[in-house]
Order: sequence, then structure tokens, then C-alpha cells
Amino acid sequence: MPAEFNQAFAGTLLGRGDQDLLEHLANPAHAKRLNVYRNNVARGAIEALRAAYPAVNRIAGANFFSPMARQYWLDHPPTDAPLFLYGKGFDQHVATYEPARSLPYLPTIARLDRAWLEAHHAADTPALNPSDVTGMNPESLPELRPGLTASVQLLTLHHSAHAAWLANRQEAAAEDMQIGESAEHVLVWRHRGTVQSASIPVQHFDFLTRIARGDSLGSAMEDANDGGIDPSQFFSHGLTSGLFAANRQSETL
Amino acid sequence: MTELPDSAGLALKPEHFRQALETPAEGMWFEVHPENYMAPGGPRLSWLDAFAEKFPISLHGVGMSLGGMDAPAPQHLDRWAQLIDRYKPAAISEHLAWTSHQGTHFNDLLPVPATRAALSRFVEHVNIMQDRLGRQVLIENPSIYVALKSEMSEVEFLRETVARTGCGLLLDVNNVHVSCHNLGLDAIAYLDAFPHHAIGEIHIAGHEEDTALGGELLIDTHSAPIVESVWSLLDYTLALTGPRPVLIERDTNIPTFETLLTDHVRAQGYIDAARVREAAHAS
Repeated sequence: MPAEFNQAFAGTLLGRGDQDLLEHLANPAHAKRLNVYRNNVARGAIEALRAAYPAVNRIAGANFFSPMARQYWLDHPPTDAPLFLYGKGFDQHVATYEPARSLPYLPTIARLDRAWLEAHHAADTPALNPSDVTGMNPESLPELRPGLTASVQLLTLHHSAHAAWLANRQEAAAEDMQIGESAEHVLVWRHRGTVQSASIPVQHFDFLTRIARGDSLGSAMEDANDGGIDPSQFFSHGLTSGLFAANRQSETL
Repeated sequence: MTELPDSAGLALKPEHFRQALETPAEGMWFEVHPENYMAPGGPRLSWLDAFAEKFPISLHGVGMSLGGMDAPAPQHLDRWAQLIDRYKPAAISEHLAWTSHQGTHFNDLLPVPATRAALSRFVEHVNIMQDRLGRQVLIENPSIYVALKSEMSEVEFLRETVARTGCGLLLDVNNVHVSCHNLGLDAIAYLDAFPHHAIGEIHIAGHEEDTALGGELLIDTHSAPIVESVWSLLDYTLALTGPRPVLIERDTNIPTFETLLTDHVRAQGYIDAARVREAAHAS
């Protein structure tokens, strides 16, 4: 029965034994060839994860990464054909993967790799331009609720690992990794086709978090002022960096 | 059969985007796996926009699982439809293979036993894909590593699929070489029996010997140069079919664009020779 065939083959691929599949083989001597399919499937998933988590791979080393990725694949095999976004939640797997205990910052590195990937593939939402703002009635500006463009990721990290992560995304990895035990706020986004990232002060992080949830510029700025920073400079920097979305303009202008 | 030109094309890799977009090679067209472009947005999609402006594009799917138990996923068909709408491909294709089962995606082209039950299911799935996308799909013969209990040959299975769905075929000459070697079949006999009228596209690629079993088992890796015997099979095939679009596939261990262009020129030479032969026969 074909149903048994696919079921049996799936079992073979997931390492549950070849016994059920053998009766479907025309040549029993071909049983040893099933490794080809098993290896292809496992390797495909592992290499997809390696491509998605290059800094984790570099810091942990390829020989460490492969069994860690293999275990993730066994626990969470892909459910969809496009594999470039496979591996959501890999940071949690890294956090509970026993051999990675000696690298407590590795889940943070995985979160940053993931943020890069999601920013890279995020929808192309139009950004609010500085010229859009200069053309506005200044009195209506505080009422603007721009939101953030689709690629923007706001992360609060358990380790200050942004600089180390960035160095390990480059071809020439930093020898001397500086990773602090304190929390760090990081912004990851895509601007003109290129993923950017920055470690930002908590006040800027809070400001962007409020804009992201749909607050008006006026109220977000007021809070930031209370926090002791001048948000207008950060706002204009964010404007030129393409952080704010243009899609809600029509509601407010 | 398709809107692809009867000339040689290349599998498009992100590593070559910049160079490939400026290539002056005559008759050039490019093929991509649509699964790699099923993203919400981002630069990869913009690159393909630029290519679609200048070159014919072929979408060659590896994830529809037409040979599986489950019907094609509506979500996956929707994403295909969006890509067709955006890039207006000259050809679309998929495989005689399955890639997923009960919600798990294996990301490999897994073999389908050539049985009557599997054929009915395959025909139904090809019809679903063609109906949803509103156009003909080319179906590719896979590389096979194990002989399965079957009720017909692979060529009969494909011939019957063409008759019952109106699909076209994508003949992968390297897969013929690899499968026939692995199963002890005659590649020339396979090519002779293949329904030539249905061939809308031809693939050639490199393969490697299995690291564990050696020369007994060839693996379709797309990671190595095309061997001479596959070039010969291409020449033989084009003599049977006349000029057809020929694609050079390379997915890993990717060489420079110039190296791929050397293969491109060689493949184009075989197509040109087929055109000359055809003209000589006609006159």
C-alpha cells in the first residue's frame, strides 16, 4: 500500500529504522543506499540553519554547530517548503542544549542572527521621508502615529553582545570577543536593501517601542523628555535611517 | 510549448546577481527555485524584478510534493501564484517526487513508486497545480538511488501523466545518467522511449560518487562539473528533440560566473548543432 510506503519512508528519514520500508524495495541490496536520502534530509536542514545563524556557527564552530542543529531538526523538523526562514526559536534550543552551557551568551547571538534574517526578508513597507515631514503642518506633527517599517526589530538582550555579534557576521572575525553580563538594547532594521543594527540607549528603545505600538509622536516624545533625553534629534536620525512607516500618513495629515 | 527561447540558460545564484544581470550572452535566460523567493519582501525579490525585466525567467519548484500522499498545500499554491503574477515566468516546472508527508517537510526529492495508485494520485496533484496556476507545468524526471517495487517504468509513468494532465516534461539528462547508472538501466534506451514531443526544457548538471559506496552509487549533487558522458547524452537528446531550452544547474560548490558561462557556450553549441541538423532534414 502506498500510504505505508510514504509513512515507512518518512520513518526512515527521521531515523526510526528501515524495517517497514524494506518490503517496498525491489532490490534488498539497496537498503544500504537509504543513507543517501537520510543524509540529504538531515544535511539540508542543518545547512539551512547554518546559513540562517552564521554568527552562532562561527562562534561555536562548525563541528559544534552541526550536532546542535541536528538535534533542533529532530525536535522541530521543517513544516514548510521555503527553508530560508526555518529555525524560529533556535535561540531557545541553544539555551537548553546541554553542551552549549559553557557559552551562556550563545542564545543572545542566535537572537541577533534571527533578527538579521527577519529584517532581511521583511515586507517592503514604504518609509516616512524627511521631506514628508518638512512638508507637514508643524502643528499636526505631534499627532502623527507613523509606526515602524516592517523590518524593524527591537531586542532587549541578556548580554551586551551586539559588537561581538557584528564582528562575527563579518568575514574577519574578531579574535577578542567582548561580551558583557549586562542587558543591551539593540535595533535591527533594513534600510535601502541592507540590514543595519545599532546598540541604543534604553530611552531610544522605549521611544521606538511606543511608536511601534501606534502611539503619537507627541506623546512618545513627551515621555522621552521626561526620561532626560532630547528625542527630536533621535527622531530625525530615525527618519533619515528609514525607521518610521509612511503608511499611516493619510490618517493624520 | 513554453515561452522559453530554444537556447541555453543558467540557474541563477545570489552570488552572481551583479555579474549575471549585465551578461551580454545571447539567448540567456535564468531559472530559480520559487521557494527561495517566497519571502514577504527584501532585496532578493527586487533582484529578481531586475532580471525579469531583462531576461526570460523559469520558476523551477522543489517543494510542491506532487508525488506525495497529501494534495498540494493551498498556501503554497497561493505563493506560487503571487510569484507568477510578479515575475511573469516563461516556464514553470516541478518534479516527479515528494518532499513532505503529514506536515513534515523533508526538503529532498524523494522517490515515487511507479504504481497505478501512485500514478492516479500524481495525476490528480498535477491537475490541481495546473488548475490553480492556470497554465501548463513541466514535470522533471528525478535522480533515483533505490529501486522500488513498481508496476510500470518511470517513462511509462511520465507518459501517462502527460496524457492525463496535458502537462509538459522537463528532461534532466544528468538525472537519466545517474538513475540509469544506479539502477542498472540503459540511458540511451530511456531517452529513446521518452515522449520527446512533450519536452519543454532540458537540464544538465554535475554529480558525484557517493562518499560511502563509491562508484556503485552516483549522487545528483549539482556540485561538480558536468561529465563528458552527460554532455554526450545532451547531444543525443537534442538530436531526438531538435532545439530546446537547455539549463545548466549548479547549486553548491558554486564556481565563478565565467566558469558557468563556459558551460553555457558549450550547451549553446549543441543546441545550434541540433538546429542545423533539423534544417538539413527539412530541406
